[in-house]
Amino acid sequence: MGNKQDVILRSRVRLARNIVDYPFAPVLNTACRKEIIEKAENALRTNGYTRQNDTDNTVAVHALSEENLVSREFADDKELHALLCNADANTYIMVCEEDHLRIQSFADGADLTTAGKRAFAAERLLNEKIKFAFDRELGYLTHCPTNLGTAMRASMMMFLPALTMLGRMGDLKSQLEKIGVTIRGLYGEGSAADAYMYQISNRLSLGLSEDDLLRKIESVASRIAEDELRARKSLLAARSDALTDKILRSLGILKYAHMISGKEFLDCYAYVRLGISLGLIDSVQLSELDKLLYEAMPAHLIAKNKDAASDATLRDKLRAETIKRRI
Amino acid sequence: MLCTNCKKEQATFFYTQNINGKETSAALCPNCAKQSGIGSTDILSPLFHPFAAEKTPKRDNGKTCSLCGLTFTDILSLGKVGCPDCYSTFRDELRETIRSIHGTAKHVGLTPERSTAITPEPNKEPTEEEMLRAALETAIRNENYEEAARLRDRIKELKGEN
Ligand SMILES: [Zn+2]
Ligand SMILES: [Zn+2]
Repeated sequence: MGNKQDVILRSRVRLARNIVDYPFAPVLNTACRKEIIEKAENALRTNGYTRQNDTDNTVAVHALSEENLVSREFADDKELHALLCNADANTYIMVCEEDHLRIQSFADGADLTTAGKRAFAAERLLNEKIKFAFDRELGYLTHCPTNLGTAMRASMMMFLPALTMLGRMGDLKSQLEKIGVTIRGLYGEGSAADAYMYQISNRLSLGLSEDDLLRKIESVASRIAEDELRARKSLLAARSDALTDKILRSLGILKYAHMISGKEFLDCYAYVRLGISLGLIDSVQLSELDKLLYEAMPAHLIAKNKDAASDATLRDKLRAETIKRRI
Repeated sequence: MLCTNCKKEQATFFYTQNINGKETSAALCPNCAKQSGIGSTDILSPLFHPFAAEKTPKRDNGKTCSLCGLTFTDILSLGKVGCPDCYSTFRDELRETIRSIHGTAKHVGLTPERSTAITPEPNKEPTEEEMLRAALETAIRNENYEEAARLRDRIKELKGEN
């Protein structure tokens, strides 16, 4: 039936920080952007952080955004900006995004504690060298008033096929809204929940401490995971031949397709992932399958073969080859 | 006129801003306007509308932020502030809006002077007060003032009990 780890794939903590005496984007000029990038580099360089040159390479930076390591807005931004990353590649700092500094730290599975520790380790290094815009009443000052206070977003990436199939997401969404928790599709606001992947996070950041926010999201995610596992039990109990057929056909497509579109891949990926957790598929490793969630995305494919940028057929062929190598 | 950012598309959105005393004007196509975040239709915009709906809009008293040059009217139409100093320049004007977004206008947690270690204990249920505050905030947003009053009383009661 699976465990919480196969419902919660990844934990992330994001902190926004701004530097005093600089305006926010979009009116931040290039000279100020340069100064801000220098300040961030100075604070972090001696601590194992390196500046990623990939921000000028649209394919490479979009590949990072496919992994949600940087935001889509950051990848699309044409103004001067920079990305700093630590040696373990679990903490990324976007410089000159919507806020001057956005620290993002990650941990595998359901582990906001570790993600939080990583983010605050980076924040402390920056805090030693940089005067952050802070207000006694309002906390850390951010471009958008919705991020004031702790300026923290704690989020968890969740795979919720059974709750979705059983039509429970609407109710869940409104319940979560009442307690200040947002749930949305993996690839950004307003996007459909591709592959039954969702991200839950705190909507509000003012009035609750960092510790309390982390605990709140952790406990909410853990309750949703329990619901999902229960819903999977009822899926299995229903012994739906149609579902079993769909799952096994999806495996067939992933194994044997010569060409596969991104959308078809995500659909099959989700059914195979569900099949593994329901015990209907045991020939595929979950960890291998999950690598495809990034490797089969367009920018990743184009990074390997730049001709795929303008050739959708080639892209679909490369995707099929990439998948076959993993499963 | 062509978009001043991409110089390809027709501009549909024009604005002027005063940065450190220097006027800059820009004209953006819908795409670039969206990317710049100006006038974005994210969660924030509707939250600023209650001001207008109240029919007693806060007067723009000519005050401008000394760092970024925005007025309060600019902030309302942008849905976002221009710089960190806007929050102190327009503290009184912004307080209610911030309260209506977050249900409070008082920061709790880390400060630059004291970077405490973060040591969360897992699986703490949200307290009743937290849930009530979140419900209150939703009620205010939905302009359900009866429900909001009821929730406010309940929060007061809870505080009395402790
Ligand atoms: Zn443009
Ligand atoms: Zn300002």
